[in-house]
Amino acid sequence: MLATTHATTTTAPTQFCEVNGARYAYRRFGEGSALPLLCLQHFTGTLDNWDPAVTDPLARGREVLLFDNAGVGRSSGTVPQTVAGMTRHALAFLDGLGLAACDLLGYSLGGMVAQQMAHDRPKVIRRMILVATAPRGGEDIMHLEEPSLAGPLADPKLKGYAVLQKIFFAPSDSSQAAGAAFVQRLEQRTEDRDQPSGPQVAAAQRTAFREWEQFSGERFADLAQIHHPTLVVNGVHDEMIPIANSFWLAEKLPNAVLMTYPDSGHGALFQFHDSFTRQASAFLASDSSFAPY
Amino acid sequence: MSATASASDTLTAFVHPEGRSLAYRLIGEGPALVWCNRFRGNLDTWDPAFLDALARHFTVVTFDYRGIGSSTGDPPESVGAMADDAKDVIDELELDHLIIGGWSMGGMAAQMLVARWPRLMTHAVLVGTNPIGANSRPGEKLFYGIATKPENDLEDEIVLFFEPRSEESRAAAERTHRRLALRTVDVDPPVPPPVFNRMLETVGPDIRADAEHVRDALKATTVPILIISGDHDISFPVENWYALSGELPTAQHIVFPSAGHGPHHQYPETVAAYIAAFVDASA
Repeated sequence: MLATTHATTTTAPTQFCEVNGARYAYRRFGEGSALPLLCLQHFTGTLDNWDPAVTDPLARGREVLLFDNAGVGRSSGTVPQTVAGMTRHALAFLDGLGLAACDLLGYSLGGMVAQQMAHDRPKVIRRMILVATAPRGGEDIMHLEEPSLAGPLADPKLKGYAVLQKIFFAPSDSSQAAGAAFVQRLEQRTEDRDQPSGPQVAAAQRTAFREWEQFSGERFADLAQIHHPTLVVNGVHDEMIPIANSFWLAEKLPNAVLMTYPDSGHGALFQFHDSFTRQASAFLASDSSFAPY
Repeated sequence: MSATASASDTLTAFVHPEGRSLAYRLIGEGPALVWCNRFRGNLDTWDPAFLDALARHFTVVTFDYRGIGSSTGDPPESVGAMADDAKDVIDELELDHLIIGGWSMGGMAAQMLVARWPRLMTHAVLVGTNPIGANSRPGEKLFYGIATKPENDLEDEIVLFFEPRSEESRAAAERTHRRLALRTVDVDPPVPPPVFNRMLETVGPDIRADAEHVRDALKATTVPILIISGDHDISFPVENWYALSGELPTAQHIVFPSAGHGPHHQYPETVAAYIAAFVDASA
């Protein structure tokens, strides 16, 4: 295992973990006595899409693990078409690293994987943070065909991360300025980068979103089984996964604190990185069995 | 005035705007944090653990509205009068760059202060309250039955301010109850039924009418607002804030699980820490 003490989001080398014939790309950095924090990434996001202003502060006091799910970045295999399939890979990755327990930061699609992990293997997870995500059976999850999203996604003038500034941030000047700063931070990493996700990744993940909107039996009943202390976070102007989904999460999870940010969208954690990392660090530092930290 | 006293033993002091007497207490050091109180609240109904935790970050000021507790005059019959009293305390103590706080009905007064005097404050903190004006989801009948009993015992407090279905919340209610009993000096007179019934009849409709368009002001304010709610508040349901989601440009909202109208009494240290982090992160 490489020494990771001084590595950061921007400098941590990409490593690989082989388990059950699969090969997962990951990065680890930070140190401390707290449990490791496994970060689960958004739609089409790779290891390079984690904001240093979020994951570096969280790495003070614990190791942070970034990971490419199957078929994303430099991980082997194909992208599963269900959240459950992605969850099996995430759990296999933990097994491959020999991690018996961790905390989770699940962002957007990653938040769905986090919920499924907590549901399928509750003992592996201690506390989790769900940002800009939705419960199974949620509504309006990543309907990229809607004009507010389809426009920027198809705009040839928006190169690279510029599209993320458009769709992760609110239209206000203040939110767009925060988005520009976010893009600059992502661009700090210049070496050992992942390939950006292509259309196949996007297509499989979109299939997974449609499947995640389906439910059988009593709506949101699964959430009552997840007793982990949970912090639910979202921006009030999230166009990709509307905030009603976070309200449901907070209402139906038995042990969740809800925190919403104004003037922000899907990327509220990047826009309010100072506030978010303070609150997230306090949440993760708590050893209470109750979510309030 | 002592900066080292704790919430349980700090003495009541008075300011005298225009010949009236408004009772207040002050503890702690740091930026001023002035709290507007709840329906039926007096200086003794704030959980001392909450105020003491805040006092590690702030100069914490609580006060009695006119005609309440140790303050003179006729009780307020409008939110505006409650806000005026807060403003008088602030002016008499020469506070500025302050944080205005409000719990329950006091949260409505705090909203009015944000609307009327935004330059006085750096932040606002609203706990266990609702947007001023008409809201679609009313308080539960259970609340009005118990909130107007002449005296409230521990079981009433559990229903009014906590989550009766949660063992942890019930236990927290007992802890608050014991802490509130710690005060033996300068005990503040309770609010008698004729006074609180009159306030319910007058201030209640005034809140719903929102004649000063405070809600519109909140939709255009630049004052950072932290809203703290319990997920099951039987008097001011959290869903009334959800209905305004996206319309309040500066409002951060935190909702606690298995909690009711008094999340800051259930989690005194935690809520104080959230407030301190909010003020720090948006200073």
